[in-house]
Amino acid sequence: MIYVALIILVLCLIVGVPVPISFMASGAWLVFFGGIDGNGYAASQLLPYGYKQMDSVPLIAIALFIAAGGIMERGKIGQKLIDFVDVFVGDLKGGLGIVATISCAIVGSICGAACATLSCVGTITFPRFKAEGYPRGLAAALLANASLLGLLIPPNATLIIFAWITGQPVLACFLATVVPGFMVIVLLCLTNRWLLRDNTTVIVAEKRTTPERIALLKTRTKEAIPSLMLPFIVLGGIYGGFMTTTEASAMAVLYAIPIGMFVYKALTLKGTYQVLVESAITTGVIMVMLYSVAMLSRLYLLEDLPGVLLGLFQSVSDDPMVIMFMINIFLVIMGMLMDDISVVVLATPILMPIVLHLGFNPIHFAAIIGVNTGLGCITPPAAPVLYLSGRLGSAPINEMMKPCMWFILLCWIPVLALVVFFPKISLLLPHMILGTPW
Amino acid sequence: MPGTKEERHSPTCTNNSLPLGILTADTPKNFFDKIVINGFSVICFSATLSLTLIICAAAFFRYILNGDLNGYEEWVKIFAFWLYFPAAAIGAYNRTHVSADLVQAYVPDGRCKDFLVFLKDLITVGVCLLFTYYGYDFFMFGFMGPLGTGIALPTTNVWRISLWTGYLAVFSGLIFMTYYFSRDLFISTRTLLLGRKNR
Amino acid sequence: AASQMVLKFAGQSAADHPATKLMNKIAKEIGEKTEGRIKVKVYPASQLGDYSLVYEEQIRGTIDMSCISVPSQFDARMELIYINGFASDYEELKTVFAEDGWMFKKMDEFNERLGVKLLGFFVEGMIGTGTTKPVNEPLNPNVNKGVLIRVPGMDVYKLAAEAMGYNSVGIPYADVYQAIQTGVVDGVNGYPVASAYTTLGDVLKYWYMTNYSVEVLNFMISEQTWKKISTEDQKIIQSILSRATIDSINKAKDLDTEQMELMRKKGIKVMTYTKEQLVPIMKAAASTWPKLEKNMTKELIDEFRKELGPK
Ligand code: NA
Ligand code: NA
Repeated sequence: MIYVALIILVLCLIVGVPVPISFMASGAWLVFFGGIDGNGYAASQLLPYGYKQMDSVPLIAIALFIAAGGIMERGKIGQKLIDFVDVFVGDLKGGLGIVATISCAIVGSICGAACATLSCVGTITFPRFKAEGYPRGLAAALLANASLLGLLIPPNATLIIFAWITGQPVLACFLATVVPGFMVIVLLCLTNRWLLRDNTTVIVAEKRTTPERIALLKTRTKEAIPSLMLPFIVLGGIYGGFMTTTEASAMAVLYAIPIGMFVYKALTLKGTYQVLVESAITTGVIMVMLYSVAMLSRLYLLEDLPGVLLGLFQSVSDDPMVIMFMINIFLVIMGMLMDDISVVVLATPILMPIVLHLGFNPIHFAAIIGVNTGLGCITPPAAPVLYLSGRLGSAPINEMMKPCMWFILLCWIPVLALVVFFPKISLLLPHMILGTPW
Repeated sequence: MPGTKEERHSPTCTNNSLPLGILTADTPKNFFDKIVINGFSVICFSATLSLTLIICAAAFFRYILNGDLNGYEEWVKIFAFWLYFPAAAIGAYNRTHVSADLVQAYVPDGRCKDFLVFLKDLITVGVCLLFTYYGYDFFMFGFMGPLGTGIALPTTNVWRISLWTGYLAVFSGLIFMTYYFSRDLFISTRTLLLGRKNR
Repeated sequence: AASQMVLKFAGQSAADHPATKLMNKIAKEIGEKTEGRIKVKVYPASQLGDYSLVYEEQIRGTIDMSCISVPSQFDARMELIYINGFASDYEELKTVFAEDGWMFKKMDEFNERLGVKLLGFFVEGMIGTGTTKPVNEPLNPNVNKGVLIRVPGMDVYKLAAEAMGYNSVGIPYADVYQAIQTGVVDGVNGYPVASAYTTLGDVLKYWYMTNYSVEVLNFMISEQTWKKISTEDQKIIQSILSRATIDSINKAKDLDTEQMELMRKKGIKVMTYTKEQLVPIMKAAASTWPKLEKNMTKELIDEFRKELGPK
C-alpha cells in the first residue's frame, strides 16, 4: 500500500501538482486504502494532527526571519552591509566575487532562506558585476551558489524545520552548518578566482592606497553600523542567552523597520505594508507544505515507511557508512527534483528514524540535510535559486551551467563528502559552545 | 468565474518555476478578488505586526520586569495561523505555491501538455476539495464542541480562548485555495477544449 | 482470529521511560488474557500526537487507549489533577489516587461527559524544581528565590510557583531546553524527576525535590471502543489496569529515588526534604486555591478543599 502512496506522490510532483497538494493526494490515498487490512484510516485525525504540529512558537521564527530579510532588502540595510564588505576585498582580482560571497554570508546571518539572500545581495551586486565586465553566466552562477550561505549560516528556515520535525535543539542544528558554511565561502572564492584565471575582460578595481582605504572605512562603517547591529542582535541575542530564537526574529523585524524608515530613509509605510504581505505569502506557502507533510508523515509512520526503507537499504549493505552514502545519493536526487523546503520536510521524518537506528548523531545529520538542501537549490532540473539568479543577473541558463557545474564539483561535492564522512566538522561548534555530545 | 480574462500564456510555468519569496506583482482586477485578496493581505499584515510586537513585549517583560505576559503564547499561536493560511490563499491566487513542475519546463507546447496541465489542475482541485471538507469537520469539532452540542468547547488553558478561532483560519484558507485552484482548472479545461488562441 | 480487535494505545513518554514499559506490559497482558481477541499496539513518545490531540482523538474514537496527561482544554475542571500542594509524600498518594477515592471519581465523571472512560492512573512520582543556580532558602516561601523559572502554561503552576517565592515566566515547551541552556531562564518547575533528568539533565545543575505537585498520567479508553468490547473482556482490561495503577503508586518512590541517583551521577546537586520541612511550602501552594475558583468553579474547589485540603 505504501508503495502506491509513494508512486502517487511522485506522479503528482512530476505533473506539477503543488507540493503540499501532492502530499495531501498521497495521504488521501492512504486514508481510503491504507492500514493493515486496507480499510484505510480515519480522515478526522488528519487536520487536527497537522494543526497540533503547527501550533508551535518556534515555527513563528520562520515567518519573522523571512519578514526581516524582506525589510532588509527594501530598507537598504543589505546594501550598507555590502558596501562595508567592499572596503576590505573590493580591490582584489575577482574581488567583487569575494565581496558578493561574503556579503551573502553576512546577509545570510539575518535571512533564513537562500532566495531572500539572493535577491537582497543580487539586486545590488549584479549591476556592479556588469560594470566590471564579469561574464554574466559566471556572475549569476557565483551568486546563486553564494546565496546558499543564507542556508548554511544561521538562522536558517530549513534547520528550524528540521529541529521542529525531529525535536532536536535548534541552536545545535544552527551551529552544525557554520563550519561547512565557512568552507563553502573559501572554496567559492578560490574557484571563482580560478575560473577567472585566463579572463581578460574583468576590470580589476584600482588598488586602494592605505589612506584611501581608511577614509573609505570611516564613512562606510559609520553608515553600516545600524545595519551591522542586526546580525549582532540576532546571533548575539540568541547565543548570549538574551532571547529565544523566535524572540530574536521578532526583534530583528522590530529593529529593521525603523532603521529602514528613518535612518536609511528607504522604506515608506506603504513599502513596509507590501514587504510584510509579500513575506507573509512566502511564509504561508511554506507553512501549508509543513501542514500537509505533518499529516502525511503521520500516515507514513503508521504504515512504517522508515522500516520499509531501512529494509531496502539493508538489502544492499549492513554497513552504516554505506547506508549513509546511499541516503546522500537519495537526498541529492530529491534535491534535483525539488526545492530546499520540500526536501527537508519530506526527507527528515522518513530518514531520521533510520539515521538514529544506524547510530548517527542527529546533529551530524542536521548538517548533512543542511548541505544537501543547499545543493538541491542549484541542481537542475528543479533549481529555483539558479533560475532566479539567472533572471536577476540577466544571464541565460546555458551560460550559467558550466561555471555552476564547476562550483558544484569543486565546492559542494567536497564539502558534502567531508561533512558526511567527518562528523566532527559539523559537531565541533555545537560541542564547543553547547556541549553537544560527539 | 474570476480571472477568466487571463490568457493561457500568462503561463503558470514562469510563475511556478519561481522560487519562494519572489512574487509577480499581481493586483486583483475584479471586485470579488479585490475584497478577498486585499482583506487577506490586511489580515496577514496585522498578524505579522502583532506577532512581532507581542513576542518582543514578552522578551521585554521578562528582562525588565522579571515577570511575564501570562499565557501570551496562546494568542501568538492563534495569530500565527491567521498569518499562515490567509497568506496561503493569496499564494494560490498568485500561483506561488511550490511545485516541481517538470512538465511545464520540459514538455513542448501542444495537446499533450494541455492535457497534463488540465490533469494537474484537476488533481489539485479534487484533493483540495476533499481536504476542505475535512477542514469543515475539523472546524465544526471546535465550534460545536466534542459532543456537537456547543458545550465543552476546546479552549486554551490560561486565557480560555476558543480553539475554533484558529481552526477557522485553516478552514477559510482551504476554501479560498480550492476556489483559486478551481479558477486555474477552469482556464486549463477551456484551453484543452478550445485550443490555444493566438498561438 | 477473524473477530480480532486491534487497539491503538498512545503514550507520550519516551520509549525507555517506565510509563512506556508499563504500557508494553499492559498490551502484552491484554493480548494474553483475552486469548488474542484483543490485540494492543503501543505508540509511545507522542508518535500519534501530543496528549491533548490524543485525548481529542479518543473522543472521536480514532485512538482507542492512552496513557497521557489529561488536557484541560475541554473542561477547565480537569486541571484538578494538577493542583499544587495537596500531597507531599508517597504514602498520601496511595489514598488520593486510589480507585475508590474522590479524585478518581471526579476525574471519571469529567471524562465520561466527553466520551472517554478513565481506567486508572500512572502515578509517576512527585514534582520538584530544577535550576542552573542555587535558590535562596528553598523551604521559605516568604523569601524571593532569586531565580526566574519556567512554569507550564496553567494557572495552577504559575500561582503556586509565585506563592513559593519564584519569579515565573511562560516559555513554550519546545523552547525550554534552549532557554535554560542559553540562560534565558534559570530553571523549570512542573517537571517530574524522570523527565527533568531525561530531557534537561544536560543543562540543570540543582534539583530541589519539594514535592509540591504530583506527576500523574491517565489510563483511558475511548467510550466508542469500550462499547464494542464484550463485558467479559471489559472486566479483564479493567482489572489489568487497576493493578497497573496500584503497581505504579508502589513504585513511584523507588522511581524518583532512582532518577535522583542518576541526576547525582551526572553532577546535579539534589536536595531532598522531609514531610515536616515541606509544610510551609505546601501551605503557600494551598493558599492559591481560592484563585482557581474562577476557571474551575467554586463548587469543585470547595469540595476539593474538603476532601484533600490540609486537615
Ligand atoms: Na541564514
Ligand atoms: Na534541485
